[in-house]
Amino acid sequence: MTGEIFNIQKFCVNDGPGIRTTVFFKGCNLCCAWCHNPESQSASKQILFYSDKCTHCGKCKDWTVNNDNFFCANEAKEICGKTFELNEVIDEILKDRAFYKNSSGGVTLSGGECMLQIDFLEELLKACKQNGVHTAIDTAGHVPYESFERVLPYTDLFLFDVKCYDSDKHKKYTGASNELIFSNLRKLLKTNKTVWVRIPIIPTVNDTEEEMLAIKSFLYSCRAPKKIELLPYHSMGEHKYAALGKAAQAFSIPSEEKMMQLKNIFS
Amino acid sequence: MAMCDANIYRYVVYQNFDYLDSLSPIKRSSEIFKLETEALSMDLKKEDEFFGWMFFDNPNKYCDKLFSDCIVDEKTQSIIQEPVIHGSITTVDRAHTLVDYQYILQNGLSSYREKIESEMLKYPGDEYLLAMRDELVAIEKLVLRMQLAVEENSNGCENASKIKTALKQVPFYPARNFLEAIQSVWIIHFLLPVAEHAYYSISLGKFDQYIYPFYQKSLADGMTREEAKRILHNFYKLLNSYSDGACLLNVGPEYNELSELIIECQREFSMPAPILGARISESTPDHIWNMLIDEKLFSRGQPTFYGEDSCAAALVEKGVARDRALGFSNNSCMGIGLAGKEFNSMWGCVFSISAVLEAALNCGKLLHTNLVVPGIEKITNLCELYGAFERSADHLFDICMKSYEARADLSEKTDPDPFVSILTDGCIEKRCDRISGAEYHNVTVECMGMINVSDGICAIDDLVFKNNKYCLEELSEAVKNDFVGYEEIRNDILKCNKYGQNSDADLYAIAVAEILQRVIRKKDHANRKYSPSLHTLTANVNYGKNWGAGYDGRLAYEPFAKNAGPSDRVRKKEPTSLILSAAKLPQHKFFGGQPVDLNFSTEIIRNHKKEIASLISTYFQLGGLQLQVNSMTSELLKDAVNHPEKYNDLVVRIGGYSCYFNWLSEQVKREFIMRTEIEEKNA
Repeated sequence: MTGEIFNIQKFCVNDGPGIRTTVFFKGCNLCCAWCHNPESQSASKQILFYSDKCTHCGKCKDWTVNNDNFFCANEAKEICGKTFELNEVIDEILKDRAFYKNSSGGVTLSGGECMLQIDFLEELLKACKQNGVHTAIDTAGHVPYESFERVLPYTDLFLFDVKCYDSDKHKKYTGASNELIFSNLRKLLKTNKTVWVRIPIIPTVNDTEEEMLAIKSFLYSCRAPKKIELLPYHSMGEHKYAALGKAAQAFSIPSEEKMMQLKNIFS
Repeated sequence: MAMCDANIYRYVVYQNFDYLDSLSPIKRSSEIFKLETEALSMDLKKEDEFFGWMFFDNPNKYCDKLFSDCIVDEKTQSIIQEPVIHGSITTVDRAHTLVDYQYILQNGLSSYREKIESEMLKYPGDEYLLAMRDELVAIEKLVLRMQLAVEENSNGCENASKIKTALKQVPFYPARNFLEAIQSVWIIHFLLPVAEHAYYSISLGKFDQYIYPFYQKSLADGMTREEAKRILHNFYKLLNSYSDGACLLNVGPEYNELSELIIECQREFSMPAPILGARISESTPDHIWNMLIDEKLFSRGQPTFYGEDSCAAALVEKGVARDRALGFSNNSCMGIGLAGKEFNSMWGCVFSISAVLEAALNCGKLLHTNLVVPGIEKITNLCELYGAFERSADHLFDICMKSYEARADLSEKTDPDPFVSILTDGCIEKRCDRISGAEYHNVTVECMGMINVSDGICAIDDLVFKNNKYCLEELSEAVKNDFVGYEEIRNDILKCNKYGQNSDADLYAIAVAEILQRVIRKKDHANRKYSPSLHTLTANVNYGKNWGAGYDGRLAYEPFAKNAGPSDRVRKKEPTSLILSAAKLPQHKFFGGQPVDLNFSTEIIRNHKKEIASLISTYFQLGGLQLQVNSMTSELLKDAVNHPEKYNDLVVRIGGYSCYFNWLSEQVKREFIMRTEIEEKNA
């Protein structure tokens, strides 16, 4: 069994408790205007081209994503996405086992939308649990609830992204309405699984008290999640839009005061 | 006000050359020491807590003549210089002194004087014992001058009467309280470099342990914590007033209230010296971790962490009995030693490992010199490669060893140090200098370029032996020509695995490390301990500048890998992978020291102390000796913009997202720097 993965990042400390390895699955069914991992959106392999590092040596002119000899010494061109065997990913995850144990960490499966590769995801989670590794899934939740049901037995923590409560706005900025997402979240919160809700704060999109109050009242109408994190928008993904030949949509960065004000709504 | 530095030695020799030249080297050493102590000026400032300011600010005057007995014959000279041909260098490194302050505080210098006098009764007229005694007399006179200066008290120091009492007691008699203990340590600490005429890296040893009883006593007698802090502040100011101040102050592994006060001082005083060496064991408490993992400390590269069990295990491997090994002190940046029992030549030998590999691969010939290592045949597989590597290493290290021994003999014969020898156990009884009298004379052998070499062997195994893509001659030709015209070969080399990513490439580093430690340690004799090390400081840059390209794809004149870290060719650097790679090395056999360096963002230091503590303690559980930390400051980020090649491993994180700094656009980099500056202002 294989999965499409674009990065396996060690020592992640912001994707759940402790020291974690985050596996980034390729492919997403949303297209958030502020996405900081634009290379995660397409399910197929892509070429990233960093023009500022290119010396115009011309060696790469015939390279395709399927080329075995794809290697740019200047790191100007690289393939994003690789087909991994299940065992390869597990081996990579288990390498850092000593750190998970000492820090109460584990693995976080992220993306893209990892739930889109549900068969691979389920097997990977099973294997992690068999090896005693704490598991977390980072999802935007726009998948059939059956997918959640399949991973529930092997998942210790869900990091559930919520963007905005206003469905039209959600559709405008992510390409999809949010009914399924909120319905999934409601069902998930009814289970006894630990859920952390994460809300990216995007100025002009959802940085208002109304939005936060709406999300809050939704959450409190269910079983309240264990943790609610507000993550300020940042422009760190910009260079990757350029590398994909895409234009990044510009948003401003929320001020610290604004973040404080919005966080206080949940406290 | 200039403090004391090597100018005082030069000046004294300049002023008295003919007289000094007429003396025997031993007599000359004690005369120079006496003249130096007499040439010192001193000052008691109004706010001083104890007596500390001694200085020499005469102009830099020195003659370029050598004492007659220092001139060596041509043959010795050529033995000394021979390692240079293959890129290695030897030195008798006179700094890095670590004396037994606990003994000194409990017994005073007078106990050494008694020992000397009793030996003198047995061996009347022994020149070395006389020189030792004369140096103690010079110190007595210096302390008398201090007492006079306190009596005069021309600046109106409010603590004069306390200081006067202290100087009547220390450093000759046992310290009775905190103030006397610090006063005593400072006088000795100040005189060590004067005696060695080497003004750097004098270590304080297990400071929080040997000072603690005095601290407790003074607290019981009414001293406040704030008073203790003022005394320590005075001490820190003095430590920072001479040379590089790179002296290591140990805290732990048992942490007491004084350890906590010291960590607090270290954070608040914001001074480069001393280096705080935090000793970590399974029982290091959470509140100590929280104090140590601090953005202010990390931004100055402090503290350096040491694994208690692994350091002790390294000393056992060196041959020290386990119960004695447990009493070790971390010394200077990378030493693990026994206070008062060693002479440490910490830069004793820088051994060029690139030269070893070149000889092994090319029938004994180096790529850029005429030097030929005899007995090296053409190799056809990895096993033969390792065999040839070991024979080359043996031959080239033998040259280094002979050079070092010649230098050490010369140093002992012509430039002994009776004062440091007094404080080095056994030298009084043996009536000889620390060079041959110390229990251990450690010669640290820095294996320069070892990681680049093992990455090179990994590439050769893959491209030549396993896949037959190239022959060895082609690779050597490419390396010899700095890959000009051989870009394809270099690309293939760069694609190979490298050490530091927790991959199979680490196996080559282990194999090379095992060979080198065998070759190096085989040369031990008498008190000489050749101690393998991967400690480069920043010398990896300079040594790299003087060497051609490497089989790991390193271009000519680029830096070698730093410390036990990966080479600059490694694209993806992750702290956990680096730690797992480094822990695979036979660290305990590299008891000369091998730090790894990790860089953390202020966000992580602030919000993820627990994770950093786990990372560090996992390294030590796996056998790591030493870990150096840093954090990104706006200053460092600006440097990263100008020198991206130095910062391949710099990861920046915001929210749930992380990426390599070098991947960011110029604009984003600017923004990130701006944010960091704001964070720093708010810190």
